Amino acid sequence: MAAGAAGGQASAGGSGALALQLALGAFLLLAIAWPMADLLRRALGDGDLAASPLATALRDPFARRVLWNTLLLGAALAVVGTILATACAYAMTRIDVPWKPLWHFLALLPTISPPILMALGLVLLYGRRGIVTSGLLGMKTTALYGFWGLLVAQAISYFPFAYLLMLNQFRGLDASTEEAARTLGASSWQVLRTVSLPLMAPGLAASALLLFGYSFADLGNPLLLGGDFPVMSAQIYMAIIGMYDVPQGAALAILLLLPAALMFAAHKAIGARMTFAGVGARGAAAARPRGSRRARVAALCLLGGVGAIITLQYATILAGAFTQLFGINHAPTLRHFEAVLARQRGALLDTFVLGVAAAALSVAIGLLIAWVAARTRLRGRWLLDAVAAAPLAIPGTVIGLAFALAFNERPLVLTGTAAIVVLAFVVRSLPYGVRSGVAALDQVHRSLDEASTTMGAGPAATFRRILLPLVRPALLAGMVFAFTRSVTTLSAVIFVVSPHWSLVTPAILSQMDRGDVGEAAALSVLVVLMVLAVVHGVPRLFGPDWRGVRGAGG
Amino acid sequence: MTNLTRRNFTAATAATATLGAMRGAHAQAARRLTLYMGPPEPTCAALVAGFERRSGIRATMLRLSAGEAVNRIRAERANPQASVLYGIGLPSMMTLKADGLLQPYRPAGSEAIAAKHRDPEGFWTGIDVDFIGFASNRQFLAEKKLKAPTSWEDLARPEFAGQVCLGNPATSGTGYTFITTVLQAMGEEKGWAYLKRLDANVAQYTRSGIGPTQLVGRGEVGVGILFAHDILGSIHKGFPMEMSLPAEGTGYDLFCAVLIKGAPEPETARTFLDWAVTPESQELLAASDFFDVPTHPAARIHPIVLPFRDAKLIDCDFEWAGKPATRQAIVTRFQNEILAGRR
Amino acid sequence: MMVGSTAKALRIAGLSKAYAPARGRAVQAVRDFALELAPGEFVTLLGPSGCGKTTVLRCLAGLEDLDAGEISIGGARIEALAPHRRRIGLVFQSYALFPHLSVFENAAYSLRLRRAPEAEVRGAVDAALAAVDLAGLGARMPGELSGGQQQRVAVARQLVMKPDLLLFDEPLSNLDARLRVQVRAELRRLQRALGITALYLTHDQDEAMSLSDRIAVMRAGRIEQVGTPREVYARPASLFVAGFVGKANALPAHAAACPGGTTAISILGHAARRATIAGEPAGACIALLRPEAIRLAGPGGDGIDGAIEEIEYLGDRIEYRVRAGGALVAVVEPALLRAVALAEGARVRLAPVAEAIHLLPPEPG
Repeated sequence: MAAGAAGGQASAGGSGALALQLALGAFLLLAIAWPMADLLRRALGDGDLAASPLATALRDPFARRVLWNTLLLGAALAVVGTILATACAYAMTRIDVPWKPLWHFLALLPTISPPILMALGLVLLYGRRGIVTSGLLGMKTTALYGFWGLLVAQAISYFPFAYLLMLNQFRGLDASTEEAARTLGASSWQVLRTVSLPLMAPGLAASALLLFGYSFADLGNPLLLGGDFPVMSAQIYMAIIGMYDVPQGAALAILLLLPAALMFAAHKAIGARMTFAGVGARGAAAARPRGSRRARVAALCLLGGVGAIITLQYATILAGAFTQLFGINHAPTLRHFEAVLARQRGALLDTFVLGVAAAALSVAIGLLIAWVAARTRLRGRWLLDAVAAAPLAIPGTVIGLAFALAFNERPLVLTGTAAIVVLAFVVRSLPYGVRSGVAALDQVHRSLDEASTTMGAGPAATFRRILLPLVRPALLAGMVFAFTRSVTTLSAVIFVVSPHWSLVTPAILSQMDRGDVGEAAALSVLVVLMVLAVVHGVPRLFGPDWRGVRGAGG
Repeated sequence: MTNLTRRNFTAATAATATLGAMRGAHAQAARRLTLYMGPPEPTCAALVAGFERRSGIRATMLRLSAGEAVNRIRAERANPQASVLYGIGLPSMMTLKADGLLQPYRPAGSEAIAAKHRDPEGFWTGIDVDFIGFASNRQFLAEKKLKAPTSWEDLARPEFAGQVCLGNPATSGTGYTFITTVLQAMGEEKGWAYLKRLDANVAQYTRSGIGPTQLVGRGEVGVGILFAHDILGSIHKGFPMEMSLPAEGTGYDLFCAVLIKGAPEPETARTFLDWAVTPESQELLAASDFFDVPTHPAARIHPIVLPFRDAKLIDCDFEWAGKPATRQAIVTRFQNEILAGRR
Repeated sequence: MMVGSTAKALRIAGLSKAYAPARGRAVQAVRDFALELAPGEFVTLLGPSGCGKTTVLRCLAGLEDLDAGEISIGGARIEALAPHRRRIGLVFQSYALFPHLSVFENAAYSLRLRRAPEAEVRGAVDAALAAVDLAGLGARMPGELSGGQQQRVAVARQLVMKPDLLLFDEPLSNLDARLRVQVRAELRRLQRALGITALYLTHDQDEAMSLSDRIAVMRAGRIEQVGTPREVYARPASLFVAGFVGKANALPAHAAACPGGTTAISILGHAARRATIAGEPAGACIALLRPEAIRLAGPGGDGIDGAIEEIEYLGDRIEYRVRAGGALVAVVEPALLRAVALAEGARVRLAPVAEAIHLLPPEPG
């Protein structure tokens, strides 16, 4: 992630840059290092280690079982999700399937809605009295709850992120390598198996890791569909909210953190060795999609099937929002929307405002960190980058809990304020902000920096006049992404909501708890509309300067 | 299509952020009150609105379940964020009282309320009484040709295998009250034995007490153990359910209002508590579809509750139920003996 | 060395292919293309970029679907077959080695697909690597090799596969000039030894001339001329071919057939006579003269008057540009030809070698 000084001379920076680095370092210390250290301290207790909450939790068979469940679910999602994502990405890039924009849009739909939405839709469709299971198939089953239901819910919620990743991977493959394999006698399947997949091994690993992380961090789905399959995030929640056992909650959070951090570190270590330097000369064109009739039919079935399932989910949510009492009384009504707009207006506004603030901050700070890491030669800049990347390995529940605990005592009390919510959002989105900053800066060749410097501009002026305008499209994309992430998360905020600042995702959760499905659905619809408006509307609003050459944002 | 320049964009973000900050600041300007409340959100909203109309004081509230509320107040011990806790069951209030987290205050006019519904030391005042009942899904009963259960033992019978749900005592006030009632009525060992037999029929222990309404209302599960106001509220919403009470007598809970120690807004808090015990305030509960028996004798009881007002109630030692040690013991034993044994 | 005994003929007829990009009108890349290769023949498809030769290659390999046309190898029609069934080898411009496989495994790939026994694989791969002078490098990864070595691995892959037809997609364009000359000779040697029919794509005329049995010159989706290098060089079918394969002077001329099988040609006032070539145009036409086919003489004598405008010294030869009769004529001479070098501005006489004059009909426009 850190772009080292790859050739060329980076500007040394000067005292301004040093001050900046120190300021950023202080921020990271405050926002990431301190809460995590505090959490660790609580988990380790004050006495000897053997009696610490962490040790107790490790000895507790129930906690061990929960940990095992969490790992099992994470692994299952990593495998299932990666296969599904790879299959869909392959169909989209290598097979001549009609209506690709539609499938792409549908596949990405889950990324803009709160994950607990999936749980709601699944219950309505596949629960014991679900429309599909009971109404259509006449089955009476609670198979939905527990491991399988959770796996399905998480697969639908999170596979789109893996799909995006694999899509990029496929597009990045050199077409001529695959064509060479074909001319040497390999069928499409053999090409995939012996050439494409091995070359994408780093991408597959990244996808698996990504899905692991999402599974660990998921709170909404386990709370609603977990049934008798407890997982760690829900247990932390129960420990804190239910039993107010802070030491135990902290211990469980550290327990959750350990495998996540280990996998992250392993991925970094192995990942570097797995990449294959591009071989051969130019000719890295992307492959053109084609395929036999059978392949096309199969791909259509796959994409269509996935698209249908996702559409069904959202259609159900819409139906839930517009009917009196979904599943029981289907008379159409607008009263849920009226109720939501009357009562949750504040939550919608708060969520929007805080989301925007967090998006701007995380991208701005991310860009500054990226600049220090990639464009200066200050000592210790790698540390800045590493700490900023740490939240990638930390599940949202853990971040939220650490914040709620650390910032509830002196010297810094932030609970109840907007600051703590924004901070939680920012910390979660910061790694992506840094990454997009690095990627954006990479596109601006170092020689432009140098040209600016030789003409007399100091580092700050170069940054403002040369770099900033050129990285605008990447920044905007980063902000939209951070906004979406912040607005749809539940795990990171469930511990930091307060009477003064209410957010929509906890509101949806409590509505669903109460059985106010109509309102929960209506609120979800409004959130999705809000995100759609931002994702598609904001880039258009900002003009071509911000959209980049390709005119993305649509 | 406007073509925003970088300056415009910075201005727009700054404006949004300032708007947000101003909103926060504005709330601080007027006379205000912060509450943690237990009833469902529409009821909380109605109460807050009613209070604002009556007193002109701007109130913000956060809706929490019993467990969540206790946690938060404990967590905020050094720096309380809210002044009043309203509509949470008595055991939790006892816990808070034992922890020294409450201030005594006897609201004006609370003498009209029955003595057993008020703390002799003045730390808590009862607002409404609710008892535990059984909610049965009509379709389920019809399909299985069963009658709604009318005793505790009914629930443990094989006909209800996999068809029962109730709240997890760790997080749900309902669940916790149910267990304390059972343990008090049947004695410790017989009580846990019953709970184990019941567990065989339980499909799910939900996170919050109201969770079962959804499950039963939609027919996901056949029978739920719930507070009457949840059941009656759901029936009122249109869910196909019916309510029945155990003949041996049922547990109940007293939902109270208390003043939090170190409250940031003590005067407005007292004004609120005074208002909370009035018939007008208590009738707002039923008006917002929250069907309990109000404690003030002059408050009207909603017709939907009337048939049940004379239900046989089992007296509970709330002080014992409210002790943190009791709670810890019950929750731990529940987790280790009941939850752990499940698939 | 392997000796090919089952070389196959290639026949392409009526090949057409258009591309329809996302925006804009469709582009006809190849139009009614026809070509036949005898078994074991080495034919070069020569043309500028965008002329459609790559499209022809990709259609042959099966990497593109053709709109119309027939392709037969050894008499069997293949245009409906999937690429992996065609037994056509393709050496890519970018070599397209598999970065995750060793050199040995790269070469062995085609056999591994068929699950050939280990002994057979080992034998074939070792022989192929030896043939391209890479013996002993089997364990290396492609990323560790130089460009030239990677190229050889790409060739070795084909040696192992033993296809019916070998296609080369400008394989030398990424090598530096010296390496290019060296490698192209090796390629030709290998092809001859294997006896596989080969179609070679390039835009470099030197490569085309030195490697091929025949050259097919392409332009805008069609073939302009097919012939041996000598034919294409000495008797180009059009100005385009003449200009693409070597340098040529195109001068307006007048030709008249004379009795006795000779033709009188008048170029810029100079009269020449030579044996008539069948099919030549008469009347107003264009005379094609290669720079080496014009002799420079001092003023006076037979020839076209002119003055030297530019001189380029190229080490082994000298190129002159002479202004004569309004046109700028390029002439080339061996550097050691003259004891006394000519200077710019010198007045000279241009004397074309009559037998080397090639006549073309006047082109429109």
